[in-house]
Amino acid sequence: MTTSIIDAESLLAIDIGTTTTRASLFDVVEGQYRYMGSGKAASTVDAPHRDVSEGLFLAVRELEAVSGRKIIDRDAQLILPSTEDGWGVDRLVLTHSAGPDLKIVAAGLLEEVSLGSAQELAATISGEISESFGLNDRRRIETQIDTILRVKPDLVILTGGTENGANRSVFKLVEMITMVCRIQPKDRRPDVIYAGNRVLAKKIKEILSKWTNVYLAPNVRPSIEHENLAPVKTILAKAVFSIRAGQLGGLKDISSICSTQPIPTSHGLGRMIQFLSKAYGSNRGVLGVDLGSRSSTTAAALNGKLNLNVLPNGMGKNIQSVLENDGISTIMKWLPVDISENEVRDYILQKSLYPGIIPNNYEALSIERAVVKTFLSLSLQELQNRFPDQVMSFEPYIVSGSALTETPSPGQSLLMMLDGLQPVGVTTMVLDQKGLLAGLGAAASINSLIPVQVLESGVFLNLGTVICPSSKARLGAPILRAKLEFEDGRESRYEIKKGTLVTLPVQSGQTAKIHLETLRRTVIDPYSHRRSGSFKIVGGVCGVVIDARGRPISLPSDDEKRRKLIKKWEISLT
Amino acid sequence: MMIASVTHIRALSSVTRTRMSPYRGTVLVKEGQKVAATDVIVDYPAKDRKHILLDIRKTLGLQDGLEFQYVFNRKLGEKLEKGDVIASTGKIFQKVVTAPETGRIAAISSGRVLFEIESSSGQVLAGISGVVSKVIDDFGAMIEANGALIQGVWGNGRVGEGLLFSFNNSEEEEIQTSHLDISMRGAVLFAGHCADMEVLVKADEFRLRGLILGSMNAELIRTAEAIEVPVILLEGFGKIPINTAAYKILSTNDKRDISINAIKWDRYMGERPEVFIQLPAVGDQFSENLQFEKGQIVKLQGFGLSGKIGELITIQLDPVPLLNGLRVPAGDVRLEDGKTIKVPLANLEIMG
Repeated sequence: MTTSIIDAESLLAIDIGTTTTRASLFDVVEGQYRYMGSGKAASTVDAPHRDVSEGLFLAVRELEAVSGRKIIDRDAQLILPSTEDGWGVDRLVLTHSAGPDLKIVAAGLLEEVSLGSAQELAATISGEISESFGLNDRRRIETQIDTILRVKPDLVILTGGTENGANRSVFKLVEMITMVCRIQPKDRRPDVIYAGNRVLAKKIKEILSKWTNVYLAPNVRPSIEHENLAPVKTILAKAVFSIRAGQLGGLKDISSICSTQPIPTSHGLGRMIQFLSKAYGSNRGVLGVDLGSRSSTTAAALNGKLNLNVLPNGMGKNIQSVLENDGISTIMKWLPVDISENEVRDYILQKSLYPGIIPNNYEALSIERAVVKTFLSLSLQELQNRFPDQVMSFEPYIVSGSALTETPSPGQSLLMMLDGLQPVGVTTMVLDQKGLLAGLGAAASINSLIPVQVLESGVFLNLGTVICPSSKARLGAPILRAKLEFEDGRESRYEIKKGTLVTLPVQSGQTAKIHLETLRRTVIDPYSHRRSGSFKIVGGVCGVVIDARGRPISLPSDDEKRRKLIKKWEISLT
Repeated sequence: MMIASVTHIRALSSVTRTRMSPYRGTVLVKEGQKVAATDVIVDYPAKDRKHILLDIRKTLGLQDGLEFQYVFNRKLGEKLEKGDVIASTGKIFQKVVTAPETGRIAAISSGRVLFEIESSSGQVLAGISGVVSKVIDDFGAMIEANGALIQGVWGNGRVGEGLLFSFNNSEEEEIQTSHLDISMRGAVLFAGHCADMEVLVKADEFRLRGLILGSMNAELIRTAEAIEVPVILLEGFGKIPINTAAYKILSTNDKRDISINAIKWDRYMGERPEVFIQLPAVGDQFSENLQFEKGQIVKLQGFGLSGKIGELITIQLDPVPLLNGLRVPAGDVRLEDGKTIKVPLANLEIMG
């Protein structure tokens, strides 16, 4: 579908992260929306600036240099809308993940119902539920008040009461929150989102708005069986932005010229993954993972049903979280070099003090790659824990985050994804090199053509098709025979042994047909139990990869053997 | 253009520090007053406040709000001693509600009173020896001072001051328990590295006033956080010696008073752990907002580089390849041993 030049509007998507601020430009070329370029700069959310404007200015300056388009005028203001000679942009959208971790208190009635939904909502943003209060909470009200005071929450999510359901219990919670607000100075009072029984909404707003900012949202649980998160997420985004605008200078000014409400980066990513799952319409879901400086976001969607989860596992400010729960053992397992546990721990803690530092040598890079794999694995585990019905087989896997995208070679990005995510069956691995997904998700609310056409234009890096059979055969035993047929008639055959990582010579963009025959009770896909089949495959920048290492990947217990094997895998995908 | 990180290691500097409490409190200093690092600037209500909810209406069997107004004769914020009457019916069979503890009335709502029990207050300490230049009503003060300033990277949250005492001959010397004895009470020691938990325990036992370390093993974090002695790391975790510039300042100021503000590094607020030696001279002020320039002295970070100092010889803002294959903006740095290495600009701090 082409876009009328008359209706076409250029769009600037800005993402303000903890460490990096990114500005990406989209415009119409030959009747289609295209990605034009990006600029990035260090975020200036911390002292001495504590104002996002400087980082944003530098990011846009870099974009100007890359795109050849003037976007800022002589007064350092964004040129909005665009001028006749093509300067400036027409629309602006903003996503954000910067700022101190949000402290959230969830208050609801039943643990598995309304309180559970409040916790679900909180898990979609970068923050922690510091405390929960439910109907079964036996603590005295003054103890609950003291607990909240100690926690110092930024936000209270209050849910409870199906439509026409309990109201007395909800008002008890309201009373407790009111008491907290009464005794706190104005600038310390938490904002409140009420997403419960709608009949009570007006009264609750009347009571609480005397003391703090109150946001009303549709009932997150209109009935016990039905959960309605989507509209409440919109309100949550609004509340979160309001809190951030109070914490970070310059944010309010930028939002005043945005074309739509700024949203958390995690929500933007979630929207796009949700859209892609509808667009692909397959019986497998789509998975998106973003590994940021402060947090990691996992978005899994199947036919439009989205599960979104944010964890405080980041490669910069929160990197030390990897050391919890014996994470150090997992990291040591993935190292191809002989470094002691203490050295690894020291490097990670040092990085937590200097979150912006870049791995300066092979040892540092190896440690950070091992951390990436650990975080990816934790993200999937947590997704499975929170959503037990989630089928853990996806097509495609899309990842972003500079630790994954800014690597010496695409093969290294692919290896981190394979080791960390351990996909099964036949799937495609994709890299969102420029971190565009969240911005496209924000843009979708004002112009649904932009994400559709930009995605069609192939803006992401296709690393390649990966084939990951499951087999209980012993190491070294042949488990798969593959015949590759190219369009020009050439054929090649392969026998794949258990424990190997094999790259097939399919060029990027080249189409081929692969015939797979499994041996020794191997299955190509453990979910469909498929044992053989023919597939059309498209080569990515890493060709086509058969990962026959098994699931979960088993590594030798001997340190020397293990390091050699990991190095061998690194070389095989470079 | 690239925004650079800055660290301050200065033999003489003019310093201004703002100390503010998180809540409205009582400022205990005046403009022009000399303060020591451990002096209290502000007293404020403790963050771990406790409350008791008194249901006056229920206890006294009141019917409505109007009745409540007749029997309740206290004000919001009023301080009460234990046993003071809060409300009473005044009828023949008098019913009384009294203050359960010494405290104050924090909130009144629907016939119920939230009573805040008096507990210990929070305090904001000066953290630096100097002169109060400005009082910020109810919240804090600004303190100005001239002297040597060394910023660190990690602290155990304590504040202290004492006599700087040098016992070692090099910036990498590891502090042992044999270096400590009871005669060091009141002293602030500095050393390259600490790997022994017993050193921290003994330092606490002997009531040292501070420990300035280049680095510490990560396993000692819990112990360091538990002791009362202020512990500050100038370089970080692992075995990293004190950088030469800081070592020179510390060793040439032996037997001077030194203050340690061993707070945790808060990048958002721009507050770092630091040590300060007040000197009878006026220093220059410095900027936090600098760009990379050739010839600057920089401090390095990274695997095997932490704590090293060198001169920035070249600056490449366009990405260049490192030995590990990453392509990043980088600079060539000539180290103190004469060797030149390529370092990502993101791994450099300007020593300003």
